[in-house]
Amino acid sequence: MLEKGKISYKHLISIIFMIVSPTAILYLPSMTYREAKQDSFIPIIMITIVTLFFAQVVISLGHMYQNKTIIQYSQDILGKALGKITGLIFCLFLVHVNSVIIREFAELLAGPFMKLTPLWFFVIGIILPSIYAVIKGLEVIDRVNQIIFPIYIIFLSAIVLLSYKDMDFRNTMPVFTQDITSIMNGFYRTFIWFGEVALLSMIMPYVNMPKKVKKMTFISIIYLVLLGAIVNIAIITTFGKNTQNLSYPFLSLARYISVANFFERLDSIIMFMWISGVFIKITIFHYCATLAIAQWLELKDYRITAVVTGIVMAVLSITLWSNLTQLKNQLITLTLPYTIIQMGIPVVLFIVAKIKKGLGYG
Amino acid sequence: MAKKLMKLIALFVIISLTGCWDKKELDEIAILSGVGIDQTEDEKLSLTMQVVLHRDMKIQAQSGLRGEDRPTQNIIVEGDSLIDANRNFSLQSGRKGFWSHVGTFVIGEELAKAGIGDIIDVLERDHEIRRRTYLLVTRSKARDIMDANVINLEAIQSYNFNDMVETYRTNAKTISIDLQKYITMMSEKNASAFMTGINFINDPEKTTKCNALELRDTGIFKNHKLIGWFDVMQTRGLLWTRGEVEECIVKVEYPYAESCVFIEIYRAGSKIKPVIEDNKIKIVVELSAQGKVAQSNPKTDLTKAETIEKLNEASAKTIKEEALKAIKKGQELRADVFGFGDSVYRKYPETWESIKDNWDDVFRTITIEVNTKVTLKRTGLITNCLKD
Repeated sequence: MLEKGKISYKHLISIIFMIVSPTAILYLPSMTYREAKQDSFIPIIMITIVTLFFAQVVISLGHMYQNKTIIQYSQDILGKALGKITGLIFCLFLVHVNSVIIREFAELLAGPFMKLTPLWFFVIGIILPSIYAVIKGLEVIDRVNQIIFPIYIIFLSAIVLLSYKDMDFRNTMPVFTQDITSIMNGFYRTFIWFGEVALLSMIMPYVNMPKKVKKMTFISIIYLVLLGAIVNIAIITTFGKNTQNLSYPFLSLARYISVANFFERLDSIIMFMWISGVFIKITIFHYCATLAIAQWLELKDYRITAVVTGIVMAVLSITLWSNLTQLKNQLITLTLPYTIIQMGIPVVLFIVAKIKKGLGYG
Repeated sequence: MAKKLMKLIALFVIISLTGCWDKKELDEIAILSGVGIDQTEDEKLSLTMQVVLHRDMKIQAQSGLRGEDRPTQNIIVEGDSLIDANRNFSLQSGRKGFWSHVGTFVIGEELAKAGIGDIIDVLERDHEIRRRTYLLVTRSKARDIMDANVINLEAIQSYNFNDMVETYRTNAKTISIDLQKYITMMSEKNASAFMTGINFINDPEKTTKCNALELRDTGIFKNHKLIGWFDVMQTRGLLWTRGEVEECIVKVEYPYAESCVFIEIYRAGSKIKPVIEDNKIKIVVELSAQGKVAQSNPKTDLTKAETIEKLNEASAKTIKEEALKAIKKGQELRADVFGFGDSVYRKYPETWESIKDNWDDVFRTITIEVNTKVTLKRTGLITNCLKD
C-alpha cells in the first residue's frame, strides 16, 4: 500500500469541509445569485439532499471494497480494461480540477491585491508547499488542517457576524418568485462544488474507523450547507441586487466591515483565511491526484508522481485560461463533464457492484 | 537532501510573501484624503485631489501646533475620465495617488446633472477605493468645497467632512451615504438614490473666518443623474419615511401657534405596507417614534396625563406633515427614493410585473397614507417650567 498513515475519523469533518468550502465561498454566491436571485437558498437546500445521497453511495462503495480507493475498486467492479479507463478519466479529472483551483487562487491574489505580480509566481508559491505536503503524506496534511481549520472557521464567522449591522433583510423578499428554470440553473451551478465530496472515495481507506465515516461525512455536509446558506444570506442582505456584479462578493463583504470606526479594512484577514484554506484544498486535491495516478500505474513510490503532477497542474493552471471571465464561463460549461465524472462514475460503479452482488459474482 | 530542499522552499516562501512586485513605498505615493470631482466646460473631468503632507503632519504632532497652515494641499488635475485624471496627477506631483484613505468624494452640481454613472463604475471597480467612502454632492463647484475653510478639529480638512457626515444621527437633518448605500439604492427597481449635500452657508453674517460649510439639502439622483434637491425638512421627511431617523428634535406648536414645545425623539421606525384596494395600489406608511420633552412652555401642564396625550397627537401630526412634504416633493421629481416600488415588488411581485414599466407615473398619482404614532416617555428632570 502506498499510504501508510491513518487519519482519525473525527478529522474527516474538517477535511470534507475544506475540500468544498474555500473556493465555493468566494465564487459560488454571485454565480447562484445571477440565476436564482434572492431565491438562491433553494438550490442550496436541493443540493444538500443530492449530496447526502451521493455521499451515501461513495461510503457504501468504500464499505464494499475496504482498503481500496476508487481507482482500485473500479477495476474490481468493471473488469481490468474498463476499470483502467475509468481510473484514467478520474486521474485526469483530478489533475484538471486542481489546476482550476490553483488558477482561482492565483486570480484572487492577482486581481484585487497584487496586479503587477505575475500569475506564475502565485502558482509556484502554492504548488511547492503543496508538493512538499503531498510527499509527507495524508497524515501530515490532516494535522496541518487541524491547525488551519479552526482559524478558518473563526475568521469566516467573524466576517459574517461583524457585517451583521449592514445587512438589510428586506433584500431576501419576495421568496419563491423565480421561475423553475432559473432555480434549476442555480442548482446546476452548485454541482461542481458539492460534487467534490467524491474525493472521499480516495481518502476513505485511510480513515482509522471506517464505520464512523458515514456519520462524520453527513455532519460535515450539514455544516457545509449551513455555512454556505449563511454566507449566501449575508451577501444577499448586504449587497442586494448588486451581488451579481461582484467578482468576489465575500471579499467585498469583508472590505465593507467597519466596527466603531477603527476595526475595518479586513482584507488581510480574507487573504489569510483564503490562502490557508485554499492551500489545504489544493493539497488534498493534489494528494488525491498523485495517489490516484500512482495507484493507476501501480507504482511502489508516489514521490516522483507528486512532483510531476504538481508541475503539470501548475503549467495547466497558467496556460488553460487567459482571463478570469473565461475561467468563470468555463466553470459553467465544465459542470456537466465534471458532474458526470465526479458524481456519475461512483454512482455507476455502485449500481454495477450491486447488480453483480445480486447475481452472485461479488 | 530533503532538509536542504525544505530550507530552499522556506526561503522561497519568505521571499514570495513580501509581494515585491507590488510594493508601495511611502516616498513614492501621495496619500489622498479627499477628492472633489467637477466637470469642465469641454466636458472633461477636473479632480481636486487633497494630498496629505505626512511630513507636515509629523511636525504638527511634535510641536503641537494647529496653525493656519493645513497639512494638506489641493492639486487640480484634468482628464477624460477619473482614471485618466489620476494618472495625470503624477505628471504634476511625481507621485502616484493612493486612494485607499480617501474619506469623501465631493461631486459638483454640473457633473452630477450630467450623470455620474461612469465615475461610480470606476469607484466600484478599483480595488484601492473602499465602499465605505462617503459621497457628497454640492450646489457649487467641488473644487471650492475642497478649498473652503472648515473648523480644524481634524488636521486634515476632508476628514472633517467624514465627521460631519457620521454625526447625522444627532439631528436627522442630513443623511449619511457611502458608496455601498448609493450603489445598493441605484441597483434597486426604481434606480433612484439620494446623496448628502454639502453647501456653503448662504448668509455671510453667519460665517466666521474658520467655517464656511455645512451639510444642508439632499441631492436626489435618478439613473445616476441629479434631478433635484430636498431641503432640510424634506430630508427629514425622507428619513422618517425610510425609518432612518435615530435622534432628532421636533418643534411642536402646543397649546397654540406662538408657544412651542420641543420634543426630543430618540427612537423611531417605519413600516411601508403596500395595500391593494379595488385593483388600485395604496401605500400605507406606519411611522412610530418615542421621545421625551426637551423644552416646554408655561402654558403646558406636564403633570397631567391628558397633556402628554395631546402632545403625542400634536407631535404625530407634525411628523406626518414632514413626511408628506417629502413624499410630495418626491412625486414632483418623479423619483421614488422612499423605496415604495421595492415594497410593492416584495409584497406583490405579480402586480409589480404589470406596473414596473410605468412605475414613475404610478408613483406620481399613487395614494399614500401616513399613520404616525408618537409616545412621549418622560419629561426630563422637571415637570412644569417656571410660571412667568
